[in-house]
Amino acid sequence: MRGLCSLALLVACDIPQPAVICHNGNCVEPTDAQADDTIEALRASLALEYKGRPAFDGIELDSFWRAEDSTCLYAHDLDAARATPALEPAMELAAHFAEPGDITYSGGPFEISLELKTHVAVSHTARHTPEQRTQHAMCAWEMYAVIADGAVANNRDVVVVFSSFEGALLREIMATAPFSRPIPHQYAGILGVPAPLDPQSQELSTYEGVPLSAFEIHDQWIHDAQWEALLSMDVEIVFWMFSATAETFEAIQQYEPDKLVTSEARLMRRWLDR
Amino acid sequence: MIRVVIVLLVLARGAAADKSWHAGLDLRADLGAHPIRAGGGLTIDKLDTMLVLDPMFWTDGQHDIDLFATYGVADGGWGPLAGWRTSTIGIAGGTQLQQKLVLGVGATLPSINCLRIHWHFELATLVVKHGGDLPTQWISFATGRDFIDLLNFGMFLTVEYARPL
Repeated sequence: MRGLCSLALLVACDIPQPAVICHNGNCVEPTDAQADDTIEALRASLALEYKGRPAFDGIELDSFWRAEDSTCLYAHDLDAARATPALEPAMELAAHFAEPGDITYSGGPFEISLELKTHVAVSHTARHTPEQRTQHAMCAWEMYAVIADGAVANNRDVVVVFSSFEGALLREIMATAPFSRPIPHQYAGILGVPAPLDPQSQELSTYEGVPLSAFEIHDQWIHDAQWEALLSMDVEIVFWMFSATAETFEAIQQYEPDKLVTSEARLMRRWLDR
Repeated sequence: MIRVVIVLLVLARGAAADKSWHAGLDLRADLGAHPIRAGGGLTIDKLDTMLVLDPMFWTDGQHDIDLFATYGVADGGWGPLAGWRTSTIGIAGGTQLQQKLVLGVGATLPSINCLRIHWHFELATLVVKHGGDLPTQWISFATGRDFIDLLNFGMFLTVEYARPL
């Protein structure tokens, strides 16, 4: 697109500006996956600024259901010891909404991508039982309630996007939805590194019955067939990544996603603003 | 990497060497670099070297420069490829540099008169990114999340005019 714009020197050209979402509540450079889903990284990320404005337009929070003690955690996995309750980052965000000033770079709604992790133990193939799915979904709604209270109390424009690699978890969110939902909520599917490299990604058909508004895909693992299927679903396309490489930037230019979930908010913002 | 290439060139000169130069295009369909770049190099016996520059930098502010060598170890020119790629990423208020180790294999495809065509398969590993007033990031293998984005496979062709020296 930029190349075409360069050629059309005298023609106004609208270069797409995707929204920037802070990945795993941790988007302070350099990328440090070990700090993902920690309160310290979340606070540091929320404090990021670019040109005197917030550096991003939303943030991703992971909720993890630990089966062994039926605990809902703020965690990506159990590869390292984690004990932060899932409600803690929600309370951090609610407190953030109470602070003065804008909360997004674009001025639009603040998006909270609330991901429900699919595994429930150290093993990434240990999946929820039906009962655990219900408990995890209830936990996600509790996070939503805390966030919604903070947003309403401070008159903030906030949307919660429940996301997961597993359609069954999103259907459970739908099934357990509370009567009172004071801020908008949406649903997003996720695709990542394909099996057998990573067991998380599943067939698109497993999302049947979920009114998806977006699909998150990894920018370096895009299959043509998947891409065509996603286009036919008429959903927003979201690229997720940990560390942006030259390939990442080429992919953004080629596919023009609607949103970028990045671990490097300032780098991505400055690249978009180049 | 430059030192390795120089050593290989010196070693190759020890034998009664067939030498040639070549220049042309570096073409790829993947996202590892711009689709069309230009370069050239020297071939001394089984050692083939190439420097690739990126005339498409003006399209998006990104420039990828490659220096690599292949060494033919089998009939048809099959052999290992080793090199270095420096990607210059234009960002507002500065430039980020991404340094990649490139390893792979290369093979010679049938030539057409003076037009030689080589196929290459690469694993490009981002070793470090730095610059642009952002913190330097080195690759880590602590967890899969640390390096999954930093390893990328790619394929490219070089189509070049070649003449003996």
